Amino acid sequence: MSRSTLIPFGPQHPAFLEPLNVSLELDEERVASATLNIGYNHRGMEYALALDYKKTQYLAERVCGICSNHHSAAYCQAVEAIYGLEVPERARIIRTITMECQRLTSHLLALGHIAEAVGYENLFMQCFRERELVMRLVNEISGNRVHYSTNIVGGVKRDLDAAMERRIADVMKELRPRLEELRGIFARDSTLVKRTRGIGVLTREQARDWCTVGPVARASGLPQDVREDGFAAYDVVRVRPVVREEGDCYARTMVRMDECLRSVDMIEECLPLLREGPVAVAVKGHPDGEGLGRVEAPRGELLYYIKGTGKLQLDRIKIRTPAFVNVPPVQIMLPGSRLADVAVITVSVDPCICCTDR
Amino acid sequence: MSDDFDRDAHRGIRDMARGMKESGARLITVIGRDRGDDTIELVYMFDQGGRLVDHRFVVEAEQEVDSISDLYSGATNMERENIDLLGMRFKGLGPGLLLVPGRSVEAPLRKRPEEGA
Amino acid sequence: MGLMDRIGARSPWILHFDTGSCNGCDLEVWALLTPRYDVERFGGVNRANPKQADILLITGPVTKKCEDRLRNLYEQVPEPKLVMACGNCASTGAPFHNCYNVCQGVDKVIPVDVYVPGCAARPEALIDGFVKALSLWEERSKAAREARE
Repeated sequence: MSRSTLIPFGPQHPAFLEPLNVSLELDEERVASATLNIGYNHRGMEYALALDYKKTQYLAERVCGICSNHHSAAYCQAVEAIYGLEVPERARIIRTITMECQRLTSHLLALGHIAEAVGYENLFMQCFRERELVMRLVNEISGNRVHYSTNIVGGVKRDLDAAMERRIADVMKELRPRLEELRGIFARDSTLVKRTRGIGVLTREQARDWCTVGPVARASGLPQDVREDGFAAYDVVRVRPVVREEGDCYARTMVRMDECLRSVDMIEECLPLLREGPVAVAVKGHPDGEGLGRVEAPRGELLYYIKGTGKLQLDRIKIRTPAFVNVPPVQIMLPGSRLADVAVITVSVDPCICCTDR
Repeated sequence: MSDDFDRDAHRGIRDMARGMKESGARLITVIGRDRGDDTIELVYMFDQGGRLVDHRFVVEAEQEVDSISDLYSGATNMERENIDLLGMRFKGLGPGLLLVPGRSVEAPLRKRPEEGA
Repeated sequence: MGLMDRIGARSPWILHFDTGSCNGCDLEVWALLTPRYDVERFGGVNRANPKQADILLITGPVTKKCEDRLRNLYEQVPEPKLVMACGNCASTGAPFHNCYNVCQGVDKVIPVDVYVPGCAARPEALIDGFVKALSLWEERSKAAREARE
């Protein structure tokens, strides 16, 4: 047995978009053990968000820029639960459309990121090219590219007009063949498949033990999808969770790829459901009581717990982000793999450190 | 410090978690909330086949609480987060997940007297 | 540009580091490197290696845990180097103003040359900032060459 080597992977590393540190103990090329260090992005959002609930819906988006719209939607749902508000149907459908658009941008980023980690620069660029289509669409819908600020407590801030509805339909029509082309590459390209299949396996039992959610859980055979609960307009559109059994990097990539196509389906299904009507209802008074908001963010279940005491300042706001439970299992996926695969495995869980650390 | 809670209730945390695990429930999170009187409310939130189930315990802030990280590996970070942000103590776990000891403020989510309860 | 300047000219390489941002600006920085906005046409390539970098693109308000890492990275970058603070929080810490674990902006830790506003900073603004940084960097490289001669 040779002597082991300790290698710090990150916090600044070409494969990572964000600061994340994995402390690797190597036996020659093989990873013997891995320890994850997080906290580089901890800003203290739970403290800041509780200071003034009227500003929270905008600050909540700043928790994470990749799933910002889901954060504000979860926050709004939690506060609406406290007030006992019924959100107008049109607002719920608009929320669903923006949430699915954001899922597309997030998944295309994750797919591009995995292509980059594998060393397939070209495919990374292609993913980002398709992603830019959705980014520009979202910019037209909301006026912003990253923090949409469309959700408010009681509904949405901006209505969609007929021209915008047509525009969304056109973009989806343009996007679908491009996504199908991407799917063909991710599913069959021999380099990609060799670098991802059988790598970083998370078994179903491990996925359950580590409380994983979202694509990571679904790639390990756990059929969990909060959208089936029917928040926003997911009770009227068809939600068909993508579930795979392998639990490896390939499965996680393909789950995201197929979900992109399902998102396009859902957006197209939402558009004819839009009926004339109000997009927001008024709210009165400070929130008093406990509320929970649960949405399926691109990385999995996102939960907001809010306790208000009838004051401007909230008593407690707790965010359980999907990355917080999805990132730690890399510690058990890494041992036994080769050093070259470390980046691929870590990126395959779609680590979002700003969500993890808050 | 108020007396409206059962001081020994927290001994049931592990039995509760074991029962939930056997029923196939998924642990969502462990929420700690400062009640403003040196006691902390712990909410263990589970997903049982799509249904949300919560179990609540009130503990003294200085109390060492049993960890459930051997039952749910994913609970480790949830409990360590409470150690960092609320200054709690869990058996067998240490601080330093999110904060830098010595440089960051200690227990930022605890209510300070000047802020009022 | 004289002959010697042309021979001495090279492309500025980029090092991107996230010091606790919400990812919004990071995504726009990545969008900047990809086909639609493409700063490679100005010679900017993301090398993610401090020893080869010329321009640092820093996002985020600098958390306490990232503070030392950022200083460390800055010291590893060879002269002449330039720092670009991308977004409101990197410039002033704005959205995370008074959060207990942040240093309120990159310039509290290392000197900053170009500030790009926006939350998240739009790619157009980032390109503008990058072009400004580019001319500044060329001036400094020229000054450094002349000082050597």
